Amino acid sequence: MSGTVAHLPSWIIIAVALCYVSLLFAIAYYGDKRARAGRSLVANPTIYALSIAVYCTAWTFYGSVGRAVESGFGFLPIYLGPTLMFALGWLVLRKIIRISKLHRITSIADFISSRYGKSHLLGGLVTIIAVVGIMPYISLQLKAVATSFDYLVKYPDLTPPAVAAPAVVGDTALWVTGLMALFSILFGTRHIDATEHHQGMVAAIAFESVVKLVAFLAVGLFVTFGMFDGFGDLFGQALARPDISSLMTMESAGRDWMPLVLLAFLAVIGLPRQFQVTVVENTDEQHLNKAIWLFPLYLLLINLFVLPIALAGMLVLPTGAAGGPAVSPDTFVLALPMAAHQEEIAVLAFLGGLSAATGMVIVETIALSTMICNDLVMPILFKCAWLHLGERRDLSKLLLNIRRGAIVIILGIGYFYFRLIGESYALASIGLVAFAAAAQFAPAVLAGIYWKHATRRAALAGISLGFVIWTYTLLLPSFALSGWLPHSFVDHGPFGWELLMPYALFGLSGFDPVPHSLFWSLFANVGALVMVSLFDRQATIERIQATLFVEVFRQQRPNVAAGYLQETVQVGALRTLAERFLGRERTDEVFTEYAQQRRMLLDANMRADGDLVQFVERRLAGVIGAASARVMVASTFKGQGFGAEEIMQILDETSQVLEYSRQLEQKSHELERATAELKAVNARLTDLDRMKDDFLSTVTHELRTPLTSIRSFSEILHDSPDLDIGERQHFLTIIIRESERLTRLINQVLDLTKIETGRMKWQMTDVDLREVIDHAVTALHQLFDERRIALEVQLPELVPAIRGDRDQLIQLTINLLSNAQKFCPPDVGRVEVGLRIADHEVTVSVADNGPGIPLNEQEAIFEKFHQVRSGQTGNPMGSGLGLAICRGIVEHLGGRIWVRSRPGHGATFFFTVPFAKA
Amino acid sequence: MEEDNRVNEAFLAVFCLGLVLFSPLLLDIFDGPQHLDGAASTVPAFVFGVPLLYFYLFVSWAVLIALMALVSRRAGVASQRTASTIGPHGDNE
Repeated sequence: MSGTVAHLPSWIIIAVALCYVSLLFAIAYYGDKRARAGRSLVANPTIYALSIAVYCTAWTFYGSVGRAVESGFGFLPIYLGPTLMFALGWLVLRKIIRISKLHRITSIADFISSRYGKSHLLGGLVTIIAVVGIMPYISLQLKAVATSFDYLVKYPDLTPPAVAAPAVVGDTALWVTGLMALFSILFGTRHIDATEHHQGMVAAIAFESVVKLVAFLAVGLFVTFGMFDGFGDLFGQALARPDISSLMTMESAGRDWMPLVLLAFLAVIGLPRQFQVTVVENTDEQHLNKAIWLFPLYLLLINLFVLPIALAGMLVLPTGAAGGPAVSPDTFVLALPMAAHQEEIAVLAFLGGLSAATGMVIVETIALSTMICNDLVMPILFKCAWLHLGERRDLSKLLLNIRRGAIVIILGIGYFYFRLIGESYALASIGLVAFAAAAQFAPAVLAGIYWKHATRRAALAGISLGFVIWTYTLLLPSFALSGWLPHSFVDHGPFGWELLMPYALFGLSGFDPVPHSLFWSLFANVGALVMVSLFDRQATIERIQATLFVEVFRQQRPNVAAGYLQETVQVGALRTLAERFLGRERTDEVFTEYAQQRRMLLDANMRADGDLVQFVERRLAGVIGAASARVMVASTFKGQGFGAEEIMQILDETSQVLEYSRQLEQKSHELERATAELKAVNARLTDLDRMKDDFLSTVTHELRTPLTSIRSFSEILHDSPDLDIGERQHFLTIIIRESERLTRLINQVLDLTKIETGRMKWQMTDVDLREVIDHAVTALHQLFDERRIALEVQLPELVPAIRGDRDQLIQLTINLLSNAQKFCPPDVGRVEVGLRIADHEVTVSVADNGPGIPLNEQEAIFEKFHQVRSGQTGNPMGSGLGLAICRGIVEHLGGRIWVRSRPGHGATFFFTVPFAKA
Repeated sequence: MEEDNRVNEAFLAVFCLGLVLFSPLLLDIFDGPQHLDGAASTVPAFVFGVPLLYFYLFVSWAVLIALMALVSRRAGVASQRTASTIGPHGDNE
């Protein structure tokens, strides 16, 4: 195949690139789909490790060779640094991942801001630095794609003349930028996810990592074994060339070696895209165990052929006029297969470069857009009261749109930056400049997870100072090199002050700009971080966050709601909280009491143990209630970091508990009520039982009295035949009267039993009470006359009919009248019968002027066998059943019966009967 | 916890080994027989047909990665044990 095609038409390259990008979209789409279906494609340690390989950008793919041509092994520290960091992955990265999962960290800006007391200022600062520092790096990727495309199109010409930048519309880079923006928006901002996982994006990135590795290895293998006769041949030929043999030694890499290892070591945790894939997109902490060695292995493999390709390029490709390479070393990866007329490998190399660039741009843009949205725009928007954001319920749409806008803006600026400045700079140096900016975050992150006393102000000071020095020693000189600032700024310092020369600050010369800048910026950064922390005091919220971050592995239960994270609050913080509610004096007492009980000394900086926390909480509960106390104490543990969600969770849980205990209380109330009812029923039963006994004994007694008298008089009559007729007559009268009384008694007992057991046959009709009363009065008229007791009946002309049993009502009235006459003194006795008509009932009253009824008996007289004893003799004056029967009748008819009496002034009995319903 | 500490120590040791392996001091040793003949530039030493430094860097890198893989296998066991005591994510029941 080789050599048969004279050139590569651009449409083929475009078609291949488009196919590749379409494949990316498809993979991302599939990855998202699988994630939604719950069968995650990326929940896999190998894919996780491959996604971390987004570290290798176009800068690696093309720039490493370029750097190797310049400085031999000088390209390697950029990959040894991450290897060393991953050797510490189990200690450092795992901790960052654990913290980020617990605190729902969405970016490195979020991480730093959260650690230092949820400082919006810090989060915004980190975001701005990241955007400023990374933007050139994104431009670099666009440039790499554009350059490689333009170069490939010129095939087979290896040394095309430099052409003017094409018009914007026809610019390859613009189309690439647009596609990447589309991808980032589609797969980076599809929805707001609490975990900020973009599984489709991760799947695509992992695929790109495979492509770029395969492409680079293919080029390397082809160059080494296709164009040369293996490593021995290649290195041997290189050794023979004195101008390039030094590339195989430390000579040109030596002095910058360790600074660059350190730079990459720090950048691999500080770069927003690395934080995104390593920490935020991590689906399972266990995956890190494999990534710890798989990612360094990936780095090793992709670097294996860098030096051979660099040497081969120097050996094979045409040399320029000055003896240097005529082909830019940054394009060796493409130029070598092209020189050997291997179009397939050249296109594969192009795809590798494309994948490296797109992968970086996509992840970096998504990470930056998240930071811009969460740590820059939203805090500002929330501060703008007129937007009423706090009242809006659903902010997710707004968030997504901000992120989409941010993506477009980042890529837009990246593109124009590339058009403005990109042409003048080699790939590698721009990459290192970005690394140096990202490295400024590392001290704050590392101190944040290992040093509890690192303070917010210290982190602010460190990061700002580092950024200022980075700007002065790297960014401004790059502007000068692009002609935006006078070149003398670099050569002689501002205003000719040589001490302030940006590439030799304070006389530190002999280093490359990047190590030089790294030294000064880190010196200032770490110095400020340490010094300010030593002399600073942390706010409560900072202390809490610091403890939560540093001691993340000691927290046995990460779930806040399940029980708050004990051992993570200081005694001082608890004390402050207690003072807010208890007052200083009382708080002192409480803490002293606790300390004395435990025989320990409480220091404000001590960690409060669970006992103390509970002790304080209970004291607080006494003031503000248990639920609030729990929330308040819990809030000390996380301060503002205590999200509304967690508080809601706690409240929810407490309210559940409250609800539960309320139900319990209700149940116990019900039980109590039931018990009380049972008791009452039992008491009633006991009463009834006693009443039954009473009843029986009374009935027996009442029956025996007349029986005894009947029997004794009968015996007298029987035994004394010689009694005179008068006496005989008298005795017989007594016998007859007693028998009548006995019959009456038995009838009454029967009546009462019938009423009480409901076996009485009631003949309910509409009854005229006037007629009933007339009837009763007529029946008893004789009796009243005999005892010369006045009986007055006063009835209204017209009385509404009532519903009742006429006979029973007559019986009732007779009972009351006979009772009245019974208690009235003869001759002066006076009984009055009255009738009143009320709203819906008729009240009948029977008043006498007898001795009256004592107050304490007025209720009892309606009981069975309750006999009012006559004041003088103490003898019972009735059977004790009459009134009980009356009550039975009245109550059956739906009325009431009662008595009103003042002892010595007679008694008045009332009963009511409701009207018949019309 | 005990197992965790052992893993921590092992990784720290690997890290320190990496620092030493990649330190300019040690690299100098493998950087060819320089200045022996007073030459201005160093002549790279070769082993198995490749520059000694190239060989050394990639082999020591590979060894380091192998050690990391070895320790992380142990770490996997340790973290799985921790994970089983912590439980997944601790979402509320």
